[in-house]
Amino acid sequence: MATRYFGKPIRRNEDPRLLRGEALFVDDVHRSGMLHVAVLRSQYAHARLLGIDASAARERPGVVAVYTADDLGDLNQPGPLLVTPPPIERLVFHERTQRQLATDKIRYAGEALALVVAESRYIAEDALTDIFVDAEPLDVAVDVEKALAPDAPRVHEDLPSNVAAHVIQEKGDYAAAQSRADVVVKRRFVYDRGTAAAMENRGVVADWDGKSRRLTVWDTTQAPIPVRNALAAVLGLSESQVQVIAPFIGGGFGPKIMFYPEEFLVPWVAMRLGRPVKWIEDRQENFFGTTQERGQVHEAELALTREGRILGVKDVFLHDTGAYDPYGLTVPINTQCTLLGPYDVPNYYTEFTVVFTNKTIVTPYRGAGRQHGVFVMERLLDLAAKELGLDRVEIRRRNYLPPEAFPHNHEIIFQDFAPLVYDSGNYAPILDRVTEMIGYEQFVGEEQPRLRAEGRHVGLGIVSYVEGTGIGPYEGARITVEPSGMVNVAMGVGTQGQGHYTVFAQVVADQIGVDVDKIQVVTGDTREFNWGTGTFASRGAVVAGNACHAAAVVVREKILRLASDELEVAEDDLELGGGRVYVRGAPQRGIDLGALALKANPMRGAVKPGTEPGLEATSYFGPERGATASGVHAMILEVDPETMMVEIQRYVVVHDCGRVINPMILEGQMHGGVAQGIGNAFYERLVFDDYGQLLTASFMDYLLPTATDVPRVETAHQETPSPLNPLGVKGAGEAGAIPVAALFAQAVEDALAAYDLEICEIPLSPNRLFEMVEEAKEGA
Amino acid sequence: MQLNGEYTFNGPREAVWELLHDPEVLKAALPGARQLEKTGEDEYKAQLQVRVGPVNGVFATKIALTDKTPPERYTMLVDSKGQTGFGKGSALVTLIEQDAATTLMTYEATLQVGGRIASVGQRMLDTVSKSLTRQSLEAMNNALEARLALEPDAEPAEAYTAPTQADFAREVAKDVAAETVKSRGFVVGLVIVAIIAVVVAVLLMI
Amino acid sequence: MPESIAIRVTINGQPYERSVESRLLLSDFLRHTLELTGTHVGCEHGVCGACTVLLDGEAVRSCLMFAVQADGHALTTVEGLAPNGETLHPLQAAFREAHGLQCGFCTPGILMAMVPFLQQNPNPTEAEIRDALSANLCRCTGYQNIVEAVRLAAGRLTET
Repeated sequence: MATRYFGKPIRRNEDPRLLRGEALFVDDVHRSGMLHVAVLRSQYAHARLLGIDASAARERPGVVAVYTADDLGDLNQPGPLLVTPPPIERLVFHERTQRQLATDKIRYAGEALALVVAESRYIAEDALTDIFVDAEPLDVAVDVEKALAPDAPRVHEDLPSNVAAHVIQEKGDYAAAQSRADVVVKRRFVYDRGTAAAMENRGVVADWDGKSRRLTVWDTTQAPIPVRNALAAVLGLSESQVQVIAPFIGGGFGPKIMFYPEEFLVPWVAMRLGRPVKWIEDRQENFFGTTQERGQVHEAELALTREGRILGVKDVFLHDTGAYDPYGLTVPINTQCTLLGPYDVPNYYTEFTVVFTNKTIVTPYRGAGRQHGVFVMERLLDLAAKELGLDRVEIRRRNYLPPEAFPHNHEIIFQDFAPLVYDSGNYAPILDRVTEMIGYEQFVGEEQPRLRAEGRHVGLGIVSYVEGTGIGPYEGARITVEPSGMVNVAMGVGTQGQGHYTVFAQVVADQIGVDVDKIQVVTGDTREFNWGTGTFASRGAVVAGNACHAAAVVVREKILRLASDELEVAEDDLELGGGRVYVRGAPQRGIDLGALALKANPMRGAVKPGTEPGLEATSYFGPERGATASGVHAMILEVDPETMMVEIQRYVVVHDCGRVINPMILEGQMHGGVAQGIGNAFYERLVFDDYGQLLTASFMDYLLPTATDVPRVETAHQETPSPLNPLGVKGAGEAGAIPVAALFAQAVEDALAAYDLEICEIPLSPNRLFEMVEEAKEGA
Repeated sequence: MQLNGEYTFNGPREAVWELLHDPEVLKAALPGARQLEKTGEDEYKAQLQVRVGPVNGVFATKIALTDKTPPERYTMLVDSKGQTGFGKGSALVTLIEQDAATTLMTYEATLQVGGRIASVGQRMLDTVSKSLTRQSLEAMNNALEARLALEPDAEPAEAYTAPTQADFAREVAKDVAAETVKSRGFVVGLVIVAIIAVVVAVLLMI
Repeated sequence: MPESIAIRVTINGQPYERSVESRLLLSDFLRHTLELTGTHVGCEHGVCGACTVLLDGEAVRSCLMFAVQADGHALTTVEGLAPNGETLHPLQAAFREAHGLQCGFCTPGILMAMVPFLQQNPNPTEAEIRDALSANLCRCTGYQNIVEAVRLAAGRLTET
């Protein structure tokens, strides 16, 4: 049947509430008698915790309670491991997760030490200064390489070293490939830390009703169902007693999927005190206490023939996980897999060591390790192109997997525990489209030489990537046609701005023939839908979208069957549209869906055996593996040789995420991803000193890009549908952010070609470019 | 952070050595020292109330003097903890006799600063530390001169009045402004100082 | 005990009288004392702009003001933008049309900042719009559709 809503840039259902300031975010929750929490966080990055004296704090007027690890007793256990390591041979993994409150050792600056509960947040923060912490500072392991030295301070003393994990994955025989190669390009790459810095900080509000024995929790989480399950388990309640609501969330980007200490402590305090309790993180806490990402050091090499054909890649890298590793190996495995990109790589050796350091915990942040892989591969290709005298577009084209090569099995294991198989793809046309849109030939051939002759430093970058998206395990949806004619869709994936209230309604609208604004999506509330994992890894549209579709198909069938009985017409002669089901060609002979729903739920008579009341269906979708999206980004920028500031003049993205549900929302995701990528490449940098102190813990020092830093992004789409799901969709949430660092490095190198720089590190900054240029001048 | 420098005292080396080991003088010369008590041989404990623009708070401080080679050199160990941060470090202090009435003191200090001050007050730290150090040394030099000018049987402590917290604060503000102005020009310098001071003050309050 | 000070403020045309601590931030006063939660708090140090409200018609960061400083003044918050429950202000409508918001957290602050901006610059160029927007941080949209929305709204506001 023709799609009426799928593929259309339909305006979002959720916007009016958000625009009026009427949308509920966690800090907007007010309960009568509510108490407020402030968390005492460690100032030391590594110390022995000898004791905490909170007696003065407890005596402050307005303070209701102060809790330390001692008060938690046996409940103070290491948190859950959110993702177990995948089944890879010879894998080494040491699970170390954070306790709710530190007991005898502090492992990173910002680790939670105590909780103050008071009548107001102001009083609670005052009371923080009354608490005396007796700690004996220890030497600190900050640098990921130094942390592996034999005499380095050990973050977890029960382990022989700071090695948290070690994984080797192989395909083919790299050593043999290297010996056959005409050219081997080998370099060291460094990709440093950044933070998601969503505009809304984290927060938890908990309300325990002692009479009905029910716990209600509002939480800024991307995964309300797993949080509900964990809370029920830890607090000794049944899952049906716990309701976790993720209302409107002001940006997720990854770090809001965790089981943070506060997510347990606040409900626990609420149950103990019998009063509602609220904790809202402030921006400084966010810099220490919310997870970060990115620190990796790579030694990588690319073996090629003289014609620029890749024979093999070898990549040995270190991944900095911070003080604990609750998210398993997701990030470094993504790095391993995404490095392969859209290229035909017959031989691959990849080895990583995950290292504990005395810094904030690392868990996925938009891209989740993919950008490191793309950075390494794209830089190696650029360096190889230079060495071989090949055009950088040409070397990529020569190595692309051809459209006949799918499904393509790369053999190594991906984050969804299945072998990395690219389901579909058509890469060369994307590259062609981008070169055309950015005017590659014309720029490189005419414009750039002309501008260079005028003394201007302009450069062009163009990079390619593949993104594994839409992984399982599954998601579900329940669709109900209500007597009013409204259609209710309940799902388990929370929303943080991706337009779920609209996108999923579009999928349902096509099947049921109801306008999108008559479809109410309810999501992020564990009471409404009981099964699911959450919003992450660019999987919402793929997994939850297809679950919606599956449920909508069943409801459609029910509608047709019942209407066929009611109207005494064959099902094939019926059509759905405008909220009605009617005879094709005779629209006045029909019935409103709301009226049909009433008929499906009789007050008397019997429901036929084998049928269910109402017009409702629940379906689940679990893809056998992830769908592979791909794309190419290109940009033209100019570097001011005196200030080393960068002006991006053009930015082009062509992305292939299969069929597109709502192009307006998709483009928004691209724009946002690119902006975060630009921030990550040039403006944002988390600086830790040798003692593990974060020196950039405010927006004064950690610079988020503003409207004058992010260019217009020109987007175009290609649709190579995925064979792995009925809708043919692939994920797109992270794509904008993934290749930007590699793109920046290439474009800046090109702009500053006069100095023949080799940029193998990210983030860059005006200071760093200045240093690099000075070094190049001295070397010349 | 590294804090290196030198200072010329107007007195003979032995007198300077004694001065630097006199708890009453130390108390007067350290900014906002509320109590300074001796807890052992060459070990002291103090409460330093620092209120200098945005850097604010009471710091429980332990000081120990070790590796003494009188009257030439010693090492001072400092361990300071407060609500807005902590500081820990050591300073190697050397006294060099220039002539009968002047002594050159050189110091090489390594200080680890952490906590809130370090994460949001980086810009201020360097200048503020240098300013506080300079003022302390000046105060000690004034105490030395007062002591030397005394009649032999008078009480040494009377002759000298220590600078107040407000004095310290005022001097630091002047130094900070001067440093920034030197590098940026007058108006821009003052504006930058004012903005940074406001932001850091807000951050340290929350 | 901290002393309370009586203040009188008009917000979105409605007078309020409350007793507040002198150190209560204006943003907390709006959000928690009055439960006008449309104004959001992103950083509490005056950089992100999510807390922007109008004080006597001028955009201010409510996280950098104390409630007592608003005594005797008239404030406008995002709740006061739309003329009624059915219609949106032209700026709000333009944001919806142009997809100028994703998570919506920064949006009230941007709307309030753009109100005086468009009053003073009814025909802004893209560069002028971006410059005016540079005082508000958005982590979701990359700003492009926000710029479109403001441009769209400018066109509509000059028509009326």
